[in-house]
Amino acid sequence: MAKILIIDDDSLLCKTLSRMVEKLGHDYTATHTLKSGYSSLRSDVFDVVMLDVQLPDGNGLDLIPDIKKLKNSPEVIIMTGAGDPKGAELAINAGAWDYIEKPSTVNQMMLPIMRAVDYRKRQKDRAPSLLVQRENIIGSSQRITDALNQLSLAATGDVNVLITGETGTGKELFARTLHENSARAKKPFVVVDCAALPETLIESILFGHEKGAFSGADKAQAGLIKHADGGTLFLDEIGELPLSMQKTFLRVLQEHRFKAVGASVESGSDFRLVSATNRNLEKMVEEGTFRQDLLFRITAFSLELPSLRERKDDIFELVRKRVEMLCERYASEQKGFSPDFLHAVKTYSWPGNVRELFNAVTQAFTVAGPEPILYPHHLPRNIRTAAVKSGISVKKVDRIPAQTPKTDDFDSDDLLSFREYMAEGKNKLERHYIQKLLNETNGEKQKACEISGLSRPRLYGLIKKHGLS
Amino acid sequence: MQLFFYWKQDSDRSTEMADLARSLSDQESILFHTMYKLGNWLRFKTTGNLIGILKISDIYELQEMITGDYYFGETKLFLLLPDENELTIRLAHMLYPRFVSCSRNSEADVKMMIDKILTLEKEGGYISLPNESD
Repeated sequence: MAKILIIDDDSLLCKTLSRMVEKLGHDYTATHTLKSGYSSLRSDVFDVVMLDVQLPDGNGLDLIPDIKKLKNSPEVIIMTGAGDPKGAELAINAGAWDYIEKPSTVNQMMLPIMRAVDYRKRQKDRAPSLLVQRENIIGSSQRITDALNQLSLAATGDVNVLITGETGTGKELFARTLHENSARAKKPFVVVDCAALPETLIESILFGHEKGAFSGADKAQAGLIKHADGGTLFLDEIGELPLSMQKTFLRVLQEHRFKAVGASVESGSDFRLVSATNRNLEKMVEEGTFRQDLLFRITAFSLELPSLRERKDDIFELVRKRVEMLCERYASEQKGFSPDFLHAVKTYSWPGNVRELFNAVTQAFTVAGPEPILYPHHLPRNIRTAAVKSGISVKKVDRIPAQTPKTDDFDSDDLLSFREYMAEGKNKLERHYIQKLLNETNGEKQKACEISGLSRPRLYGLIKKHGLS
Repeated sequence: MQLFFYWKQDSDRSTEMADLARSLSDQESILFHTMYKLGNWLRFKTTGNLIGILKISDIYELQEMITGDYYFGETKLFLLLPDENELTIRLAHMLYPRFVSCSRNSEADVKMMIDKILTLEKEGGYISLPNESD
């Protein structure tokens, strides 16, 4: 029995849909606003949400991202106005499972619901993630969990996979994990570093060569494609593959046959292709530097890895595991971290992602030496600076009074001498500042001294001078 | 970025390996002739992006590198193999090398690839982030 949530401001339609859902043997909840719908989603677990677009407190499409973020996020069926093809397109692009045009017949409304419920049932009945080995992929945030779920799906099949993500996000690690969890795990995982391959060597490295094929070819040698026979061929930085080689490689992908340099007959290789890139291949296709047909071929399954900024919840676990590994490697006592250390690593933006984080933690570990606790001053300078800057921008607000006295406050009926005028102004500013300082710190003198930079005797003196408490 | 080389002294083509190391000597590099010293250095090498060029003498060296405490981590490995037997190739790929060959002119190919990597590093970062210090 599935649970359906109906969010529509039309009470009559809500009643009709509710009766329909009941007839199908499922449970329902009906609400009439976005707010109440969202509240229901937060308090219960639903399989399907039927969501109207035009609601009194907003557009239903705006709720879809929040629905997708929920654990076991339900399938969303959008109810759009009739003759609104744009609305339907928007709905699907936003992640909706399906859409229903209003007004619709009962059958037209029932079918998407039945399909969505059936899909959910099959999802639930499916065995849990097939991922067995993932010990090197650390993290339990939603983003990395989603990526691992995608990986486990890809591992069950043999389709070509394209892994995308910023530098340092672990594309090769994911590729290896995919291989280790696939039916090809017992065969080789062969890496081709497309960025490092000189154009003059690509062909012979990939396809191999015959004896005498060129000067220095003293014997026949198999290429990497042959090495990957039965296993996985991993093309790292596939965006760096020269255009001329892309055409040849496309043919290899299509037919799994190739000719070694200098060979007269073709050879075969049964490999599964996994590629990776941090470049925008679609943009490269537009620019004419990457073949469209090759892109289609390599992207049968696409897996996007999140940046570290998108999975900040994993930072602590990543740091902890790294430190544990280092302690084990160097037979060192387990090290801890100060709260400031954790704040610093969480504050930094990590443009180099996990690789940069691991390098920084390793450096901190080394710099700390025998110290049992890691502090911010053990970290590389750029990370310390970023943490300090983020701290200063907060403190600055606390230090400067929100309002400074207006100049009119200093005016008096009699024109004072310049010195007297300045002294009176200074007095007023002083009083104003100390009063504000005491208010902000609830009279805590220690805190007041820290923020203002005044010594305790000086602070007490100013309090007494201006008759403050 | 740092290069490290390994080959057994007096092994086949050790002269060619020495020539290769010399041709790349303007890059920070270190030479090892025993696996023990290589393993020890790798264990305590905590910083820097590494490229390792290893001339493997026999299958036992490969097995030792795979099963022993050799902390290659993210090191980009270039392996020059003693033969092209299926088992040798299989074991070699367990180290996830960037280059694998048993040809006699492999050293020249390795030099070409490393020159390209070094150029990429200077231009905008191949292993390192731009402006990342070792």
